Amino acid sequence: MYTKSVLLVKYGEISLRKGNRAHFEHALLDTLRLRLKGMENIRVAREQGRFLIENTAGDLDTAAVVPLIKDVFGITGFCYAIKTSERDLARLAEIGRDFFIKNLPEHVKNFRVETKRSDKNYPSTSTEISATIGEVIFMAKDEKLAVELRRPEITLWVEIRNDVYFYVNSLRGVGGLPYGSSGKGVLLLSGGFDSPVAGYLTARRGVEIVAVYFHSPPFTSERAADKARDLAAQLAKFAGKIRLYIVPFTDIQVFLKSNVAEEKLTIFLKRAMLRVASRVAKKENALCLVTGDSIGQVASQTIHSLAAVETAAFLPILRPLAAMDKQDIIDMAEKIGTYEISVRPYEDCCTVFVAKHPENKPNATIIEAMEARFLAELSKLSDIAINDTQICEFRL
Amino acid sequence: MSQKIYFDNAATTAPIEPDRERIFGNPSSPHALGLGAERALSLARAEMASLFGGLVQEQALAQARGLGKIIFTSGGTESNNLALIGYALANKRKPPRIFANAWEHPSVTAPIKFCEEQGFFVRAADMESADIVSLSHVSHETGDINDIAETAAYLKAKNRAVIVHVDGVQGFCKEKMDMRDVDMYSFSGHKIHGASVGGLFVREGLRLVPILYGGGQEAGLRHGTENVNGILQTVNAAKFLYQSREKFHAHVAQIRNELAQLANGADCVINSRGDASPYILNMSFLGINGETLVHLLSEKGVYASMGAACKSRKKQKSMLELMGMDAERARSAVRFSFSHMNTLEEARAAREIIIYAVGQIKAITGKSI
Repeated sequence: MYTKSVLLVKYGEISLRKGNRAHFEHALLDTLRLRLKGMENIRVAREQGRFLIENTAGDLDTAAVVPLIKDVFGITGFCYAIKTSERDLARLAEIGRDFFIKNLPEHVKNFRVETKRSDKNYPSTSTEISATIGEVIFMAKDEKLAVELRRPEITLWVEIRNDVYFYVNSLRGVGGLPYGSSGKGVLLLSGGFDSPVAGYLTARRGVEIVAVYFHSPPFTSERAADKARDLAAQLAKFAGKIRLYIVPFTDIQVFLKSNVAEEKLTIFLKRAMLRVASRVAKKENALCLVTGDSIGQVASQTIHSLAAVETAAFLPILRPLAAMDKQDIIDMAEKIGTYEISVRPYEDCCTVFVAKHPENKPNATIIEAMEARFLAELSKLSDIAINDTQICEFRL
Repeated sequence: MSQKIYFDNAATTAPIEPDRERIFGNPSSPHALGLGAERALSLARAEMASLFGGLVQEQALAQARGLGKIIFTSGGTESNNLALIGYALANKRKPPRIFANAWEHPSVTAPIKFCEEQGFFVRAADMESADIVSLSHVSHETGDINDIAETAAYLKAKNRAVIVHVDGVQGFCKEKMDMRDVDMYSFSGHKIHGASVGGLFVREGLRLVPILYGGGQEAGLRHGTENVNGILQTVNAAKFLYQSREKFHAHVAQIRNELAQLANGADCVINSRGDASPYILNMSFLGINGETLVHLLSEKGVYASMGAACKSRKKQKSMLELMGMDAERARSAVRFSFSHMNTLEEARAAREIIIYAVGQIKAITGKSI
């Protein structure tokens, strides 16, 4: 018989996906194992709808483990548990009582015991187990701690599996789906606050991110490109892996500058970017584009402008920030550590030739008709740009 | 383009390696190695002080007042901070009134702002009513020279107790330095082909309170182990530059004048004053973004900068705007800064490259329909 502290890892939505469940679980297991690679005697295993992380040589150092995996997409929670090989209910009640009292904060006035019995061969029912353990705790606290089944201040969770687990405290995970389990998308990454957040949110839903940054020397500096590299590296801390395309964009920008009216330039630029990004997507077998557009933030992000830009892409465009306010985006950027990179003051390609009064209600039909005049030439320039692209990969 | 033309010497300069062996030892150590380092440091300090003493034109006066002392620091920023915060802390009972122009270097304006917020300083309405005045010897943006001797003498004639601090980072060993009425003078090693150390000349008898605390080094005014080799290298470079000051000044003036010929009165104008230091030439290429030109020049092997303007956030006014320039002209400004190591050939080559680069950018940006 032994008892030791372990970590029970909960994953939410993937357990709903019947046919692909094993695929998702394995993707997540691989991620957890990769992140804990450097640690000795660590075992990560499936345990009936949970993952179990334990130290094969004794108690798990949860303070060292949790920071390494708390950001993994697809995990909904971490339970700071003890695991015991004991099966006898009377003995279990004592173990549960001692663990509970050790983790009991001072001010608490009532509690509950909640049991989940995955092992249906266990002789007692969930209710019986809860009642037995609850009673032992009630007696131990001299009847001063009340039982409250509906809205308890604190709950002792009991899970009867191959072994028995107790936990009181747990930490919420970031949720979402395992990275890469939802296919691949191409993120248009500028140096600003929005696009990295859009990339993070999309990656959290399981989409593997390939980022594209448009570089316009000498109008944008090498430091601005470094910013994009640093942002990709920061996103890789969550995602595990981000590939970044740095596309030379000067010639396209200059071409458009001399072919379209100043107040329409940004719309055409964005269309050209979506075209290049679509080609990258094709090359990468990606199925969607992702942008940091937020409705009405600037002239090129009014819904008129979004509609006029949209038709240049031959893939669906995801805009996870569309309905978010700037401050919410910035708060999120601070949380994921991209704020301090985005705040560096270098110009990006979108701000180079900005008109004083850009058009904010462009007409999609007119824009497309205008573009048709020089589309062949623009395509050639896009080919050259993609050929000269620098590709780098960032890993955790 | 294999040619590299470095015209950003106001940012940093190529170090001149001294021809003596590096010293090993902590000047505060009790053993022989420590003593060796301490002696070398003392000698270097004396040499630097005598260099400052020599800068006082009336030797008799210098001797009567006593020479100042040199406090070595980590650089120009720390020197300015020590001068300003150190003076403010030493006079906390009655917060001194301070005067400094808004376009001084941030290492002057930021500590003043800090002291103001802490209640250590109050702003003086003008120079004449101030207890302490901080002014730059040579503007890091434009190279414009302040006649420090004349200004200091004028201020002292009005008020004998006024303290004059000079941020000498861009002027040290390059421009005429008459220290007669100057109380503090900040300098930086890496702007004069020395190492990344700095220092503050403090007139004898002026009390400062340290801003770093520790082992009591630098006569208790700047605690922390001295960068002995960096200081030796800097003193070495300072002596060399100071001795050849006039020759180098004339040489650099030729280089500056060569580049200044780009000014045509129409779309290329000089922002530096006519009597500015030849070591810095600030020009605006109207109609194009200075930052773009700097990037393109960098691709072509010519290294210049936009001055400190680029460091400030977009919504803030640039230094040049604070000096009264319109926003468009300030946006198109580029700072070229020289050293005695530059050649006239480099200036001629750079001129051609600048003309080409400006043409390129105009061809691109001007063609909007």
